[in-house]
Amino acid sequence: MNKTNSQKALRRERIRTDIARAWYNFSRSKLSVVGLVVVSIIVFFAIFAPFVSPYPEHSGAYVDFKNASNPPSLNNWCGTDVFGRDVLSRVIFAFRGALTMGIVVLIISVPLGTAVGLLGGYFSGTWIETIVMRITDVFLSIPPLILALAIAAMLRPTLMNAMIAICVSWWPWYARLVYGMAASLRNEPFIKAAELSGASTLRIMFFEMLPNFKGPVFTKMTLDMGWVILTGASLSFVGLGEQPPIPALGTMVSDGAKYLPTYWWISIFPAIAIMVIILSFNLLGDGIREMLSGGER
Amino acid sequence: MQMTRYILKRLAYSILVLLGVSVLIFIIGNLVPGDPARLALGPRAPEWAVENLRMEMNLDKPLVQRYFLWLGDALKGDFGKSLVTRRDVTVDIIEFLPATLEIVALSAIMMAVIGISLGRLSARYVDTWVDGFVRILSYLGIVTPAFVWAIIFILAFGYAIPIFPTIGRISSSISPPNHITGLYIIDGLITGNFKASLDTLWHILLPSLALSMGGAAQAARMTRATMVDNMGKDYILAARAYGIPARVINKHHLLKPSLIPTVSVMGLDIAALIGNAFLVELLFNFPGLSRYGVNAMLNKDLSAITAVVLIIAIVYIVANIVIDIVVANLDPRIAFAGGRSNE
Repeated sequence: MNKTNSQKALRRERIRTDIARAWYNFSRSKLSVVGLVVVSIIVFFAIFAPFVSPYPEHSGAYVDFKNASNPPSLNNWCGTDVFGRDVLSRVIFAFRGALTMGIVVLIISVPLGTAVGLLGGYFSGTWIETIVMRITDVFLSIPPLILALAIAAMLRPTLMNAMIAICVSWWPWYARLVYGMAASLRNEPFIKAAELSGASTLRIMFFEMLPNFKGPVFTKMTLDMGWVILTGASLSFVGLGEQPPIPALGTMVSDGAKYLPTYWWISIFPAIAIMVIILSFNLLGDGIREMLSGGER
Repeated sequence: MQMTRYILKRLAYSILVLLGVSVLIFIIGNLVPGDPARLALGPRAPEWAVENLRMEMNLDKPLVQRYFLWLGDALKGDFGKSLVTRRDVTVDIIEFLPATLEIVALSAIMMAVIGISLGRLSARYVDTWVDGFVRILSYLGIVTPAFVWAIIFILAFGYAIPIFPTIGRISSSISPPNHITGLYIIDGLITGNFKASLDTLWHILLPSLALSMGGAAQAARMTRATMVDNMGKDYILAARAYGIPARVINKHHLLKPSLIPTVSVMGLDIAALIGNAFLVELLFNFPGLSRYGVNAMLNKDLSAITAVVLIIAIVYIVANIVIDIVVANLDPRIAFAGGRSNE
């Protein structure tokens, strides 16, 4: 009884020091902390958009021509668009679609790409590798934004279909990343040992190899959040994403750009929002890289 | 000899990849829900007309056979008719591709020149304020999307200090040069119409700059990191011990090998550049292939979409071959080993 208690205490202590060390490595660069704070604020705003945005009703098909195209003022910090809707409120509501896009795309494309990469890496030197990785190469031979645009163009323009389109162009990057690492692990003694002791292919792939790639894959995921959101914004920019009146950052920028330079605030503030999202996820990703690599460069 | 074999191998592989790309594009072209013939003619067209078009588009044949028919036509340069412009897609592409090629080529050059110069500058004055400034600049460059740069440039140089045009490819007061290559700058030089060349350059400068910023920032960061890394290497110390002047060391011993990662990464930057051209051309109302492609996409113009994506894939693959050859020239080990190793 006494012994298990002390073991438990020991384990708790170890977890505590692990967390403390991770935080130390993460927070050594103050910029990573800034990234974390900004990302948290964006997530908070997205979740509680109806409560934090000044004019929640402006997020839909709201029209108020009396107050159309007002420059930034105390009432409308970022001004109003040509329909008289508060730009700040619409940006805050657009965070919802943007974050959903980032999370859903990564949740689908990362496991898919990782599985393909593992398959290619485990069977490196065989025909399975050739087929799997050449297919990946084909997907990588079309610039990702163009591939996503082309697929989105074929489907009905909705947030869901935009996410599907981006997934198709996103998984190959993870396939290539994981493939490279898996192929170099293939002939390591511990993989050979697992094989000799009769472990199944799936077991080796997912329990022996995969845990080694946690760091790079997780880091890339954090960095990619910003880039997926940008790709989503690019799709809605040309009109192949979320449809009006639902606010989307890309649509707001391209619609507002028609009124440059007079009503500059309509497009500039959503554009700044996109930049802030990318920047903060980049800073966060750099911090996570530091944390997972144990602070060694 | 080694190099020639490497290039031939690289070309052969690209043709294989291109074949795969054509399959992928064909599949995407068949993703569209519903009947493409009905889509093309609109809901009020009579049934017999739709049926006729369906025959003409080979929609009555099995998928695999349709792929080969499509590929055969594409190889002959026949991509079908565009629904939007009502012309042969090939004619449209010949008209719009050169404009986009000009922008993409200019911004690729700017990306390399600006990026590598800034990286060199930063590495030369490492840990001084110059270095700090360039590093902040390149971070901002990476996180700022090309279309945001475009808006900033339009506001700054189109309106605040109006020195650049923000619309189109050439001034309406200047007649375009005679059609030889379709590239206005080159055509103008050949036919002696220098005014047209200069005016076109003036028009594409801002969009190209907007497109090149992200890649340039990436290149600057990469060049700086590798140069700083290589500075401490033994071979630099040895060169210095031989009494080779610092200027020569910096240029011949330090810069050249330090460019390998920078140039390798440019393949990806060019992908981003071509993709972003779709947005930037819209903002500048630029009559290029990308704007044509966006219109095709918004109108579900299947023949035009597949053709545009295929052409862009070819441009991208060619750009990557060029990059691989440059990298192989910088790093002779690559041609010797028979290919770029998987990093």
